[in-house]
Amino acid sequence: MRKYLITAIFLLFISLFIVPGVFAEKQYIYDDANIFTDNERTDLENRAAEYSEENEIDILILTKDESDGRDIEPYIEDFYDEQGPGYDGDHGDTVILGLDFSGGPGDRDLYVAGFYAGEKYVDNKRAAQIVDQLIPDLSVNDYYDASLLYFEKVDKYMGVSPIVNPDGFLLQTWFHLLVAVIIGAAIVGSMIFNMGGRVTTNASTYLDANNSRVKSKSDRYLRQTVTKTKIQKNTGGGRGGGGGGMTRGGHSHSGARGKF
Amino acid sequence: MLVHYKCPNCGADMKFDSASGHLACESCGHEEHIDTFDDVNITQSFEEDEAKEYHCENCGAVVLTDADTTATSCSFCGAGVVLADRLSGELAPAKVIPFTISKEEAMQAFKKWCKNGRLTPKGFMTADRVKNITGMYVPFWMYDLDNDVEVKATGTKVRTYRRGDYRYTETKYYRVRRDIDISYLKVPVDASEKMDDELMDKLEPYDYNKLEGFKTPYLAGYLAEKYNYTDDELFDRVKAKIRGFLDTYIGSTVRGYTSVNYEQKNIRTKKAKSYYVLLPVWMVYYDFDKQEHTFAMNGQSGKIVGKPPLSYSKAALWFSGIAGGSFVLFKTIAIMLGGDIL
Repeated sequence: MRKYLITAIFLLFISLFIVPGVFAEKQYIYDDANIFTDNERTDLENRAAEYSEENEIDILILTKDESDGRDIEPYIEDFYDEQGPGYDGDHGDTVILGLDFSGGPGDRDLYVAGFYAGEKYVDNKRAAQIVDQLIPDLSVNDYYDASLLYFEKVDKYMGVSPIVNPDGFLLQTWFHLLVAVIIGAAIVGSMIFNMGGRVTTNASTYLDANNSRVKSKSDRYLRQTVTKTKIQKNTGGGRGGGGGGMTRGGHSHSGARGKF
Repeated sequence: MLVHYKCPNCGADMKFDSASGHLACESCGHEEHIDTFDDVNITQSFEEDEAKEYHCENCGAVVLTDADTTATSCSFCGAGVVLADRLSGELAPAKVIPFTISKEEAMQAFKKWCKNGRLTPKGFMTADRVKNITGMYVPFWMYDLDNDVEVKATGTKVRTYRRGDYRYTETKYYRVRRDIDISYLKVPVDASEKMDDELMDKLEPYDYNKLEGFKTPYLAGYLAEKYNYTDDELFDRVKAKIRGFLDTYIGSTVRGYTSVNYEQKNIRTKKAKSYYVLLPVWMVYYDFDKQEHTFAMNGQSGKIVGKPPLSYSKAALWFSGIAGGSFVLFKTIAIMLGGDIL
C-alpha cells in the first residue's frame, strides 16, 4: 500500500512538469487575414513549434487586413502587450513577422520585430535582411514559402553571434579559404625572401643624432576645399527599413519594415 | 715586401688569435700583444721585382697571390704572411675590426645555421659538404656624410563632419618647407670587386666600438684584399645607400598631415671624411647538388647571409601547414560565432 502511495506521489510530481506542456497548446500563427489554407496553417503551426523549441524563442506570424486600421508596427506592439508571448514566459523572447494586407499589391506592409533575445539576435539590421529576403516570395503571393523562409532565417540568425552578419562573407567558406591561402603565401613568401639573411640596418643605425637637426621649418596654410555628400537613409540597406521602437507596455523591440 | 711573424719563444709561426686579440704561437702557446710586439721578430724581405713574386720568409717558397691580395698563407709551409707594401701609402687601411669568431666557432655556427634552415633540402642541412671556409678581411670604405636637405611639399589635413543630412569633407592645404641637416657616421660600402655588394650590405651592422687602428699583425693567418675602387668611385653607391634613410628622416620631420605630396627634395651630400677599413668576414663555400653556394658570415657578430638552396617540397609543406592551420582556425571561430560547418 505504501509502495503504491510513493509511486502515486512520484507520478504526480512528474506530471507537474509534463502536464503544463501538454495542455497549454501554444499558438504561433495568428492568421486574421486568412491567407493560409487550413493545411498550411496546421503545417506552419507545427513547424513554428519545432523551430521555437529548438531556438528557445517564440517565432510568430501575424496577418491582418483592412478591418483593423492600425499600422502593422503598432499592431504587433499591441499584440505583444496584450498576448504577452515569449518562450521563457510572459512577455519574453519572441520574434514576430507581421503581414498587413490592407493595401493593394505593392503597397502592403510587412514588419519583422524582435523582443528581448529576439531583439538581440534579430536586430534592426538582421530584421531588414529578413524583410528583404521575404519580399520576392510575398510579391508573388507565395505566403506559405515566405513563411518557411522566415522560419529558416530566424533559425539561422538565432544561432549566429550578434557581432557578425550571418549572411556576410565573414562566415563563408570561400572567404576562410582565401584568407588562409593569403596568409600561407605571405608567410612562406617572406620565409623564402629572408632565407638569404635580412638587412638589419635602419635609418638610425648610422645617424649622427648630434649633428642632425631641422634648421628651419614653415607650415603655411594655403586654402581649403569642402565637399558634401548626402547621407543615405535606410542604412539597413535594400528595401527593408524602419528600425525598432517601444511598445505602449514598455517593451523595447528591434524591427524593420518593407512593402510587397 | 713580405711580413712574417716569428714566435720569440720557439721560432714557430704566429697568427692572430680571435679569442684573445693577440698574436699567438700555435706550437708553444706563447702570446704577444700586438702593440708591443718587438720588431726584431718581424722578418721582412724586400723583393727585387715586387709586382710579380713574393718569397715566403719562412720556407723560401714562392707565395702565390693575385694582384689584390694583401695577406695570405704560404701554400707550402702554411705560415701567415702579410704583403706589407700593398698596405702602405695610399693603400694603408685606417682602421680594422679584428675577428672575434674563430674558424671553429664559425664552422659550428654555420652548421647550426644550416640545421635551422626551414626551407632548405634535407641533404643541405647536415652541412657535411662544406668545401672551404676562409677568414677574410674585406676592404670597405666608410663615409662620414653631411647632408643639406631642402624640402618643398604640400600637406593636407582632412576633417569630416556631419551636419543635417550631409557629410562634409574639409581638406586644408598647407605649404610645407623644411631645411634640414642630416649627418651619418661611418656608413660602410664594400670596395672589393670580388665581393657581392648585396651580400656585403646584409652583413651589417658591425660594432664600431671594436674599431681598432690598423696594424699588420691583425692580418696574420687570414686572407686580406686591397680595395679595387677608391672612395670617390663609390660615392654614388653610398649616396644611394643612405637615400632611404634620408627619406625616413625627412618623413619624421613632416608630421600631423593626412597626406604629404613632395614637390622637391633637394639633397646635397657632402663627404666629410672617408676611411679605408678592413672588416672581418668568414667566407663559406659549400658544394651542394653540383652547385657551389657562397655564404658570408660577419666575423664580428656571426650573422650569416647568402642564398641557400630552396626545397620546393618543404616550402609546399610549410604553405599547406600554415594555410590549413589558419583555415581550421577561421572555421572554428566562425562555427563558434554560429556559422555553418561548410
